[in-house]
Amino acid sequence: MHLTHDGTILPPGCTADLYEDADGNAVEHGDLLQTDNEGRLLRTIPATIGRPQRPVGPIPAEEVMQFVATRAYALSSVSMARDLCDSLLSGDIYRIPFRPRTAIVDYPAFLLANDTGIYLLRCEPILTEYIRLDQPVILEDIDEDDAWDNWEVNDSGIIENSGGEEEW
Amino acid sequence: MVGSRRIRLSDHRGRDAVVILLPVTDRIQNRYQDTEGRQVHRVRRIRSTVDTSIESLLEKYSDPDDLSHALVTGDPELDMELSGRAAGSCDRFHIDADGNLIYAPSIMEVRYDSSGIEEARRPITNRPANLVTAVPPVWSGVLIQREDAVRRYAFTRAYQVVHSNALEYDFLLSIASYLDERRSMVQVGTGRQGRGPLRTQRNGPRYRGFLDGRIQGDAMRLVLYLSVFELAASEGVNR
Repeated sequence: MHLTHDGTILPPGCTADLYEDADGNAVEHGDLLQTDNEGRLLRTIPATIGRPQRPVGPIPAEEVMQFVATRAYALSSVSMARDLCDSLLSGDIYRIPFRPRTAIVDYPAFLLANDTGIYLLRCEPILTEYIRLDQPVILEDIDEDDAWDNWEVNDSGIIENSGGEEEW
Repeated sequence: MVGSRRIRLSDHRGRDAVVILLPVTDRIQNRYQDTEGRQVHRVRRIRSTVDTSIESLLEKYSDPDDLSHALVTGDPELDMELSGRAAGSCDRFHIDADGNLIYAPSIMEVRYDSSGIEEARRPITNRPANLVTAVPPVWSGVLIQREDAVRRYAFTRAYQVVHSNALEYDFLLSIASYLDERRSMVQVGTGRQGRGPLRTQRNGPRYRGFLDGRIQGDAMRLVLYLSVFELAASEGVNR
């Protein structure tokens, strides 16, 4: 349940999201065009679903580490080329275009295998850099919980650490 | 300027320091325009309220014919004051099965098995972030080759570990050099063995943490990768 600032109770399903122009006119989803921050139109790339894609590789593991996974799929192969299957099981990794729907970015997915199966990782890039001692780091406020939140008083009145001893 | 966190790390020599984590994900902010080039923005508008929702109307008009007649003649599904108005930012609250307000609900964790049958139910305890512990963390010593790590874990978050002074730089440089020489990642975590789960925020998900270090000339790169799950297929998914 949600409560508006003037006290109206809104049960689930009682709101609708829509796109409007500056005059408050609703714009159909099919008429929306995506732009960058300067208002330049972004080229859209078609979805890959339903179209054969050629894996690229093997690629080094370092390439995968330039991304983080946003989705992971366990694959169940209907049919698979023997050489590709052998290559994956030997530890090779392949890059593959994967866009479930039309997109403005061409982020890759990675095809890999381990002892438990074959997986497809849909990824987005990360931006890391090599830093030197003289390189300044400009920071905003540190965003974190109070470290002393880890400490609690138990029934015996003894302060103990509740956050650091958690095991898997 | 970027938002950042801190983490208390130990190195292979048993030294520890509180250093900075910078988020490194490159997120794209969506902006839209219509076909005539006019800027378009997203807005959330009120469709109905408690009194005009379909559940309330079905309760009020038990006979479908009565409801149909009322919809045609009186528009009970519309609140002329509120329908179509922008909802704005809202507060979340909880009600019981009878629709009464609950002031101090206790959130329960309910676990289901793969067939959807409830297995266990327990109150959720408040779990704080544990990146900066009051006691020095333990160097786990668990090294894993990069090639094995990327095929075993789905890294869903990454932070670059950076310094705020020269002493911290030396500390991070020694870890990065150690890992780069071994072309390995080291597991970072909590607990007596340094392998326990990490939480980046209060009641957040439990992550396995791995540090990767690289050296290039006099520069270094130390990245903390976080994995929320291991790549292990459930039963029924075969190669």
